[in-house]
Amino acid sequence: MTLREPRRFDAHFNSSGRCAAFCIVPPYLLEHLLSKAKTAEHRRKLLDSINLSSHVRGARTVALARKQTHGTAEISVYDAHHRETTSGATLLWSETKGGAVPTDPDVKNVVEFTRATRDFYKEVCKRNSVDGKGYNLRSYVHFGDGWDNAQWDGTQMDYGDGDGTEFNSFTSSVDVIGHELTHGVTQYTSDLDYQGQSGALNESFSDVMGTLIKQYHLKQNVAKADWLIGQGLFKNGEALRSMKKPGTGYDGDPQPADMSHYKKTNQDSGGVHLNSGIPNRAFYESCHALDPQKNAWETIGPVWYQTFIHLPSNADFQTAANATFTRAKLLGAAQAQAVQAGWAAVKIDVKVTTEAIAVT
Amino acid sequence: MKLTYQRSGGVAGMVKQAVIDTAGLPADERAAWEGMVAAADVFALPATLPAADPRQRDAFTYTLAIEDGARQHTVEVQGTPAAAPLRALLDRLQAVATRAPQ
Repeated sequence: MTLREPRRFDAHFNSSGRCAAFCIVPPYLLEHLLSKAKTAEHRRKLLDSINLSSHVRGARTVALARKQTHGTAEISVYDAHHRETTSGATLLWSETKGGAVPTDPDVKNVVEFTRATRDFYKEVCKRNSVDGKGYNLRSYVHFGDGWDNAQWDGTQMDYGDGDGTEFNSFTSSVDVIGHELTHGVTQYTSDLDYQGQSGALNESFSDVMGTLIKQYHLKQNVAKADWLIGQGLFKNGEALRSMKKPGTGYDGDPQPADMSHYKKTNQDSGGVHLNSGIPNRAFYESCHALDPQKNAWETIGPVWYQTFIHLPSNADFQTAANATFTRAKLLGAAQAQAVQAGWAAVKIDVKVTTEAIAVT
Repeated sequence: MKLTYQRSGGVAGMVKQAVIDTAGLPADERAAWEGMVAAADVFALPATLPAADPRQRDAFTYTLAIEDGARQHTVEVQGTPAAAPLRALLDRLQAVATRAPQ
């Protein structure tokens, strides 16, 4: 077994590196043991079985250790009972609890699509859940009263039923569920600032991964995929967004399709859901330019994923364009040309710079 | 009293807005709106009510501007407000809001 340098538990050490409060079990060993625990119950028992003195037992460090233990990427679904809060929510189903998934279509959708998202990250990206360490995936359905939204709240997912007039339930689209969970991935990686162009990149990365998850789930190549986000969410209307043709998702869709139509606004954190259409389309065009008969998750998808998780948090569109191009060049001339063409389609010229781009 | 409401953000990114001028309303409706503004104590709220968790994504952002004679105040609410009277006022405004040009 390998014991890594303690990082997550360094709160237990003072500046000299000596244990300040948690002396019985070295932090790195505790972390290792906890990482081997299969379930939350195991971790609790493990923590409880460690012979802590009473003053340490009550210490904040213990709470911290529990909070930061690695998860098992477990899926669980709670009922928010039509309130716009998670307090008072009740567990409907979890993988630990087992048993048949309830027949409630919102629960079935969330279980199936969260699983599809987790599978995609594991099988294609070799990533163990949102944080790469088995983050447990908690979802709340029937969130709010006729709530027209789905959100990542910083720790978990909330899904509204829709108002029933303009919108259906927000659980009905695998790419929207992939989109929300990808906000978690971004939080644990690049942490792109949620404002202006970096915010639009944050949004676009969620759409890109969401659509790749859908394509992988349905085994659709570039030409066969619909490249729509939230298809079927509207009562009357195609989808929330089109990555192939931004601005055509629904009647009145305001997304620009290239840089010459970039919109400056103070609404929506500087138009993060608006200008995301530009990098969205750059991704579609890159995939199409390489080979429409191939699977995007096997061609340009990995270029985007590996680039975006390493972007600086204040990246703008030009930074993302240059970085995806630099990354694609490592794979070959065809990939590099396709990415260059993709960004050119949205009127962004990739520039080869000497700025350091993390490559792993 | 004039209320100018806007909701932006959300995964759909659609902006909804409503403008209510109570001066032109029947007395009972005017009283209802003004009663909700008073209950939510809007003039006493800070300019920004920040998100419960700054890491939240795809949450709604609400902007509410109130003009009442010489008094004017604008509040930005990030995500779900904690206070029930403010929640009720925003829900009431959302119920009459329509899509804004973007």
